[in-house]
Amino acid sequence: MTAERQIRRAAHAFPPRWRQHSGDELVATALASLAPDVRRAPRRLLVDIVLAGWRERLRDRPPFYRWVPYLMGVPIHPKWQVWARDDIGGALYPQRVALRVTCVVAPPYVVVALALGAHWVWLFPLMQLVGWMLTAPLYAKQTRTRAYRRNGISFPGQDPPWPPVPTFEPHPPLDRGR
Amino acid sequence: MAPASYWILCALAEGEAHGYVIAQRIRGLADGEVGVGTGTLYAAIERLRADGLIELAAETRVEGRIRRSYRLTGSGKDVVVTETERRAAAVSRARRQLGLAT
Repeated sequence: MTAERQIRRAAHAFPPRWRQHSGDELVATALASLAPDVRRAPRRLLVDIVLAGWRERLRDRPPFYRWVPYLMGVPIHPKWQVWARDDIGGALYPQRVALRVTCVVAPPYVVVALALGAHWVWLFPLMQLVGWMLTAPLYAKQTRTRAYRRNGISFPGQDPPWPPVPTFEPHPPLDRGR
Repeated sequence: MAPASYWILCALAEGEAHGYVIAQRIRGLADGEVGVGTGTLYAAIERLRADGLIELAAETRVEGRIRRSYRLTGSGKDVVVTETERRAAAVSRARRQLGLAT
């Protein structure tokens, strides 16, 4: 793998719209910082990019009191729609939905089952999760379209067409103490 | 203020620059003591832009890639001056504490 591909892969740690806005710039600067004959990017550089990307994702995420209802299917507050659009369009969204539904449904189900003495019943949610994970790619488009609609976000194929991703703007406005 | 943000503002006090030049200036300014990685640098640049401390000066295309130059805004200059004075005052207090003050 070339240094450029390694850096691009590491840059996936940043939110998608951040990459769309500044990804090329980051890659160009990272490549410029390498000696001309370097074929593989130094690990330190890749780790720095990944950590900075994760920090950016954490900073970009809505506060807990907005995030948890969103996970439960409550439409997101308009201020966080841009973030939600990244989330829904992001990797493995249908699988993440399956996981979060299981996390909500399974605990009370298992508690009741154990209280009734059906000790083997805990396997059901697990089997259901595995099934959902395996079949998620089949209904990925529908899952995403439903989520876009629920959160009031325009989506690909919709009329009017999907607008371009806006310039990256972290939420909320960042304080200067950071 | 985060060290990366502070050093970026210091680097831009010298004049507008793009990412790579900013990183080089930081190395020069901090005499190699401080290194701001590329990921940290760009994350900090976006935050400083969002805070209105720096702004886009120019956008060119080099070898098919966008290259953006940034410069300090008025409030950015105020903030870096205040922060430098705050740090200098802290160093001065530390010198007195250590008996190094002249």
